[in-house]
Amino acid sequence: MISMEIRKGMRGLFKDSSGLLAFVGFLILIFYVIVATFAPFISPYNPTQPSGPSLLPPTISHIMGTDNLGYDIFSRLVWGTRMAFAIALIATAIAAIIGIPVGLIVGYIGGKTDRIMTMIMDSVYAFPGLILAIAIAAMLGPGLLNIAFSIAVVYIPTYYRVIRSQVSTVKSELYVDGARAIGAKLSTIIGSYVFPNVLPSTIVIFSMNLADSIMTEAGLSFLGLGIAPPTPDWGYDLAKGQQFILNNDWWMVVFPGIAIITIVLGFSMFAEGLDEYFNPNIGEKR
Amino acid sequence: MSDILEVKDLNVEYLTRDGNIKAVNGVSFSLGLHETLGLVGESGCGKSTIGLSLLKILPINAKISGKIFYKGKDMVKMSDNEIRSLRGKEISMIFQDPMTSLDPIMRIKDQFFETIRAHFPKTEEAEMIKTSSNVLKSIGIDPSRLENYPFEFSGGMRQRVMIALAIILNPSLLIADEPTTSLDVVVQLQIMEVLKALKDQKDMSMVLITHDLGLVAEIVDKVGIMYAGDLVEFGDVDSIYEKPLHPYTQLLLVSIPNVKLEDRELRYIKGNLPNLKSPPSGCKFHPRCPFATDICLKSVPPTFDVNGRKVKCWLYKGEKDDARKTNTSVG
Repeated sequence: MISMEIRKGMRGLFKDSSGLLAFVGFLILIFYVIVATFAPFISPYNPTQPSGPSLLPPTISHIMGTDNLGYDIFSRLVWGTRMAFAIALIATAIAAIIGIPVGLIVGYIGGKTDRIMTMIMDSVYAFPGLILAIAIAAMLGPGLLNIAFSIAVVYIPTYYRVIRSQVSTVKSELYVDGARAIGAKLSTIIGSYVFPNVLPSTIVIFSMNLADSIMTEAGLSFLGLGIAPPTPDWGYDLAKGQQFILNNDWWMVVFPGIAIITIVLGFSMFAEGLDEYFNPNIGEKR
Repeated sequence: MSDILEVKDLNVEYLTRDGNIKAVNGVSFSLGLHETLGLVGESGCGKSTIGLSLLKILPINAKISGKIFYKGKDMVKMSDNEIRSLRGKEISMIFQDPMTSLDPIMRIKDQFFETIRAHFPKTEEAEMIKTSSNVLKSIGIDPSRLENYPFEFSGGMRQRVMIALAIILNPSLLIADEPTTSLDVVVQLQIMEVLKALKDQKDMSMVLITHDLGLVAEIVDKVGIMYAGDLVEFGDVDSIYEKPLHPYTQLLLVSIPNVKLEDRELRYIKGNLPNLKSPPSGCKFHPRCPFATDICLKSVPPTFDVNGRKVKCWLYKGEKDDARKTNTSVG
């Protein structure tokens, strides 16, 4: 019975290439989640202590080689997965927690509040994301929460804009008037009638922002504004590897680079798939 | 009979970027207990605005003035909280378009529960199910449909669900804003039957907003004819249908489609509703009125009392000895 259901679901998923895309993205994410969860068992060495000679090319004992301080790159990548997820999740969550309610309330109230808030959000949005994050990160200093916060600031307007515009369509729907007509409180109207109707679009932005924030975090670390070394972090490893690229020590750059690319790709593909699933306008074409 | 609803000199203005629109202009009427009022007029003449004013759920750019007494209390002056406790429980509303007036992602059940909980937050689920089932049954929908989503219903059924939602808390006043406009003729009739049954069974007054004089004739007691924000005629349904006084009412009655007429032509009133941003001088109906005279162009007609009916037309000046101005209207 259940296997039938699964088979049916799978067939629906692979009807066209976009379903496959989402599925591959999902597999990549699952892979990284497993790696992050079981990091202590997967990594062969302590990522914050030298475990062999420095600048060792990939060998059996160090499958991705070692860096200039003799740290095992594979172990650092495995532990770095945790950092990537942690920062991406915390940053996106902060952005969502601030951006969604503000967008909901301002969008529903409208008027002058709306105009002022939109102006503020637009001015934040107008900044190039990475530069704004650099400025805030430089101000706050290194540290996981500080980095997450500076990334979050960049993404708050994304939520705000999408939610606000959705709310301004939804609030003129008759069922919202209907909710008012039955005597529902403002909080009930926003919470039970408006929010569930704009929720699908937030899920999509959420997963897309996860991908973006991993990139931004790697960028910040690359520029030395990220997590304080020697905490394992992909962006930092990449930056360090860059100094040795002219010595043909390619493994220090290639492996962290691949890690960043694949996880971002995984999130993007997954986001695309979700969009497909939740957006009825796209779904109709199937 | 004591009046459940008394509207006195109600004005509603929509403030827009390019000028204010007077949607409702000095409208006064009253509605007794257990009575049904039909508000009739063309699209855009302010009927729906009156309906929304009675619940005070007008858009934020609307400015309301005048008095609306519900059971003796002035709603215009009430606080938001007081008004909210009335909505859905004392006064409820059925909307024009049943296709969009139910939340598409909420089960019917939950929409009922929300309504009950908005006024009685601690109601047990079993009791809510019982109440909802009963009210659904009373309008002819199987209670098992409570689990369904709105998209699983047809238009007519949705409108019935809307009616059930509106009457679940036994309101004293039901406002139905063109409840049959988007439905086909057969379903229209069914909905009217449901409303009529409600009127007979429950102790409920009703305001029925419509553009279809013929449809409501059977169920209403009083009729108010609206034109461009003015209540041009108000009185008993029988007398209005037998002897319409205002020229607009007369033309409106003639325009009811009738296949038995020999030429089978659709009759209509020439011209369009005036732009409410800059209404015509004097009587707003004069550009379309076949009886227009000089005075109609110059000054706004007051409301005259003619045999217990109210008519806002210069034709009835001095019609009856005791004709008196009940409302010196604002231009």
